[in-house]
Amino acid sequence: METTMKSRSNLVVSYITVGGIVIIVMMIFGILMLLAQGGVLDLPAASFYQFLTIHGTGMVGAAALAAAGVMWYFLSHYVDLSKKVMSINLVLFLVGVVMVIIGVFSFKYASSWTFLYPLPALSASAWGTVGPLLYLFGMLILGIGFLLFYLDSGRAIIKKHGSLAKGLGWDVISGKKSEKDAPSGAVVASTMVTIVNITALTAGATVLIMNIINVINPAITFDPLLAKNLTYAFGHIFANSIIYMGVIAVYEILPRYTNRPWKSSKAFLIAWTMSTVFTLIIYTHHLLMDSVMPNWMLIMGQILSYANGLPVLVVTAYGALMIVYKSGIKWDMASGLIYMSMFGWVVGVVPAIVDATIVVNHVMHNTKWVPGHFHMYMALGACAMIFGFMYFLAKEDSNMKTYILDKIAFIAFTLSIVGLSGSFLVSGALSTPRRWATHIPEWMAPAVFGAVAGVFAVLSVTVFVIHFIRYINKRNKVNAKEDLKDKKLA
Amino acid sequence: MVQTVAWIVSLFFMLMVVAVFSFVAWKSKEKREYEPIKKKWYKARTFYGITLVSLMLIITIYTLRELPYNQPVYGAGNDPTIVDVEALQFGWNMNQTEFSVGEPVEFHVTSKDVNHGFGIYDEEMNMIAQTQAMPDYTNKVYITFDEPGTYEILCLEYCGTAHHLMKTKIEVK
Amino acid sequence: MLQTKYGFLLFVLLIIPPIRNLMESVMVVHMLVQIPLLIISGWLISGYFQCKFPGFFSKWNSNGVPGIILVVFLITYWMIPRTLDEALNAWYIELFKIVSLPFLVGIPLQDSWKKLNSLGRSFIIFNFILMSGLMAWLYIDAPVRLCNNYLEVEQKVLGWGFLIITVSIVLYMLQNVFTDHSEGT
Repeated sequence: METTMKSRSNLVVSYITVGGIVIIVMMIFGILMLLAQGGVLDLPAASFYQFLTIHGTGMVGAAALAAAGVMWYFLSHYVDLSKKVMSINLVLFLVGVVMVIIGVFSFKYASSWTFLYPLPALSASAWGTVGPLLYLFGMLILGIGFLLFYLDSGRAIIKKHGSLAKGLGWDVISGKKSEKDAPSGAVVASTMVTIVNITALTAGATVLIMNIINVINPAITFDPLLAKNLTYAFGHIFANSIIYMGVIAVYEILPRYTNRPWKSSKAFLIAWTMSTVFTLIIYTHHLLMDSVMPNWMLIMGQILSYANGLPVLVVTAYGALMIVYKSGIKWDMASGLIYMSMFGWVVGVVPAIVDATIVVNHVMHNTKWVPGHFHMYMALGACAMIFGFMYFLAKEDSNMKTYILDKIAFIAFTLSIVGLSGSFLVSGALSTPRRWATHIPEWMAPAVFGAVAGVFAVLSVTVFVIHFIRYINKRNKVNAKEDLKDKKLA
Repeated sequence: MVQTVAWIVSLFFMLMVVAVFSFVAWKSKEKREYEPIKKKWYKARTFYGITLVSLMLIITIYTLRELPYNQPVYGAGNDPTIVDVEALQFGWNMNQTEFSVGEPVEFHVTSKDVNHGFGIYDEEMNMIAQTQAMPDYTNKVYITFDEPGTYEILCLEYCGTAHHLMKTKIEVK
Repeated sequence: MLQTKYGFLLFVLLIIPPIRNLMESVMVVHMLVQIPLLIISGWLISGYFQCKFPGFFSKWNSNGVPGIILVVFLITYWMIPRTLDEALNAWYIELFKIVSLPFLVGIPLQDSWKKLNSLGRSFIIFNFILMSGLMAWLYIDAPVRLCNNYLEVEQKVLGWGFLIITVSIVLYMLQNVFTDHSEGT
């Protein structure tokens, strides 16, 4: 690697910090919802659905922001990214978040983060027009920030490598270039995310503006099925892309810890091209219960969802296991979390593939089985990548020590997320519907269990984030000293 | 029951993942040359990949034989009872709520306002079938009740702040 | 400056009443031929204005951003179904259309486009993909007549026109990002 890892990029740190803090707050909303479902907490239904909306929006947004920070950090070693765009995205993110919060809490907007048309306009008078407009415009502003971010990464990759096709290593796959000149994992993953997320954000912005028009003038209506397709195309791809950004940390960190190279082989590149294509088109597995959809699309939804497991199961996770196996790796917080994240990803894929089976989906769609899958996948997979990166950066940059508390937090985090996701899966197997403010007594026990697990999870994540903030403080002090030295010398 | 099968299959594969990751983590303390490991693992991957793809293919073919979208073939004189279902915030309009065991029923489900979900629950509160209720479109559920009892219809797509109150009952005699 | 002459010629042709009326009698021609041609006429004559008032452009549109914002706003405005109707009903809206499209869209567009970096350009292009896709959806899907002066059928045709434009730009962008640019830069 030509560039030194001692990066002083304040922006990356800001992305991760904002992401980490928002994740903690959103976890608290999650616990409150589970307590309400468990019958422990008496939460008004309207508040429950506001929490639901903010929890989903906030988690996806914060994790995407932090993961974008991870991507930017590593990608900027290979291509020339714009700092200006990076800061614009952060500013737009914060503006969007503020608008979403005001829309949800001051104007009682609660459409859940999937805002299925025409729900924003037709709330049975639960909210007016200001709430949805604040929320939808907030999301749009957030989306514009991310769109600029990915347009910039795309521009930078094209500038360095010639085209997005080369960023994905197609010239290596076709044999025009040898494997040793293949783009690095960070570039390949970033190219994939750039392609899918620009598509997702274009679809998302279309459906957002359409909802905005409908809220302003309900006489103008749209096709609800097309709206649903666009919503899930946006939501699925965007949420999915978080793990594909986070995995860059795995590609970069594990080789350092094991002293083994992780080169882009042909199989690796083919796997990423497959992921690119599948991620773009498998969103139809969210529509398996819309039998008015062309049936071939739904059948393809099942088949491609299965196939989408292959790249990670056969290439990425397999590669991670291979690089760790008998490597004499030094385990610490960073390597531990990164390894755990690959476990979380793979284990979270299992219930997803099961649920993508049409006959299973027929009785499990929109049950708590689905959050069971994505809590494992996102918390133990994507978020563990982000937390692992936090420890990695702190150690690389400032030689931060970790304490026994960090280790306890690591174990508590793993067990609590497994417990939380497990409780969701049990609820799903019991046919508990998701997004319900109240549960019948038979459904309550897993929810209470999940809430308790959630408390441990939030405590662990707080330990992770505090460690990171301590690192920022230390770094700031060192920076200040250095500035002073420079001044004296001058 | 589908849910039980799904749960056991998932649990089995998830435990396998746990086993593999634990094994590799346990073996990570040893230090060996990378090249021979790579060679061995690439060989194993070919086998593993082929097994995985074949397993997926078999499951795909097996699970796609009968889909809930397909209208069953009704015997002569055994015409289905067609029930028009209209979902609305926050309730259900149905032109028939009493059925008999063995009678083929088609629910033609649509919505008056926003997206809803039409989920049929049996007496033990296990879901037995569902579809989405959408404005402007009609989704169909084909079902023949095998057991008598009181079944419940629950809304399965978030539709507003009284979503969880959107329930109704149907009788099967 | 031959280009400027062609630009003026095009502009004059477009505002000759019989040609104008003919074009405006068909919705899809009005939106997708007349309006773009007016913009193009402005684009062609922009060189003349840049020579005449170089200070103005460098002072007010030094990085291209103010110009492009004006362009985006005006294009969005002229994409709204009601504005077409109003242009036919009121002479001052029609006048505004004839003035704004060449002089406030075409000229600043040409001036800004060369000043914008590739990120700014691609953002504008994606913004346009989104808007024209949305317009396609709106015009095809709308169950009501959006304009009093045009039939619902014409509305649908216009929607398909927008869809073709959207798909074309998407295909163009795809081939652009997937073909090699390493020799160029």
